[in-house]
Amino acid sequence: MNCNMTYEELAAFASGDLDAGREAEIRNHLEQCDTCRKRLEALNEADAALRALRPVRPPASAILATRRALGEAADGAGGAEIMTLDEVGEYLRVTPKQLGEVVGELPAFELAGRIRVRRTKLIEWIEQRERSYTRRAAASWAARAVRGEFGKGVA
Amino acid sequence: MADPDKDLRMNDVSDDDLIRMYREGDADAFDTLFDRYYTSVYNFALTMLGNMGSSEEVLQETFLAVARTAKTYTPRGRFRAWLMRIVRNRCLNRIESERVRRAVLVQSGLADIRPVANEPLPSENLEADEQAAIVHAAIAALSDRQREAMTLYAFERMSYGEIADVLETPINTVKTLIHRARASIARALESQESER
Repeated sequence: MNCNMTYEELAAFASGDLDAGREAEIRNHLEQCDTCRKRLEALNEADAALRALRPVRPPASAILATRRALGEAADGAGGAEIMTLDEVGEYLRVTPKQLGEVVGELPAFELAGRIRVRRTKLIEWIEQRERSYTRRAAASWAARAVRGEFGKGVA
Repeated sequence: MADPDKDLRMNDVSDDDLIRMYREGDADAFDTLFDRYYTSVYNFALTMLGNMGSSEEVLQETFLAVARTAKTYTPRGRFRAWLMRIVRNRCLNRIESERVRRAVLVQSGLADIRPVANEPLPSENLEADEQAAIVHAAIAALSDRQREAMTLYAFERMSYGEIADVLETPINTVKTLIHRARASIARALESQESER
């Protein structure tokens, strides 16, 4: 028979996501349509197969590595929450001069004439920079690629 | 952990209570959350990225982020959705970085590496069972959005509402994604049947 029923609508029917009226119409249709009955069978089979799926566990080495990193982070929180600029420089592994170039952008505050940074804010700031890095780096690499700088020992 | 009875007791504690306990300084509470969800986190990353190495990194980054930002979580019984949203955002960042990196490499004539996304799942993940293999292949072939939604639906048994929360998408869109994904999987099974 000529059938306009979509597979998606049958899927919605099979999971009980249609309103009662449409559901009744489809029930009637199924009595007359071999194609849709076969499809419904395949959908039920797919749903059973999906229920039987088991998630993939991470390798034991990855679980261990994560536990270790969490342990280190907990110990390393050992660094105080409030950091001096020297500590920030050390943490970011830049010289005081290099830190000076970005000091205005740091999530810092002033206290008794001293600049201080909260460790959690610093980490969020690093993450923001990580996100914007991709685009800026791509633009600069693309410009260099256009100038033919790659492969000439410049990159 | 030295106290096995405590391990057992922790198994019945809700996610929100574990987060509260962790905030109050109970490190075992975090261990319990980690044990409860490391497979979910890894499996979701693996379906999104299709790459074991990157998924292991996302596993680590995600739990470090949870430990760091536990204070910002509002306990409303939605910890799992909050957690999976972190995983998803990490994965999307990686996919975007990889896409941009590849675009640059292609432009500069240095393209040589296959994209991180869309690699088939490693063969050791495929069940011996032929039907499961077809279902895995059909999931791998879904659009990114459908695959995300389907992973949360099939592996995590999440409700439409929870999936909508993770994907930051209206519930009706989630329903459409799931119906289409199930239809694709059924089609794959059906065409396999007809080849026999």
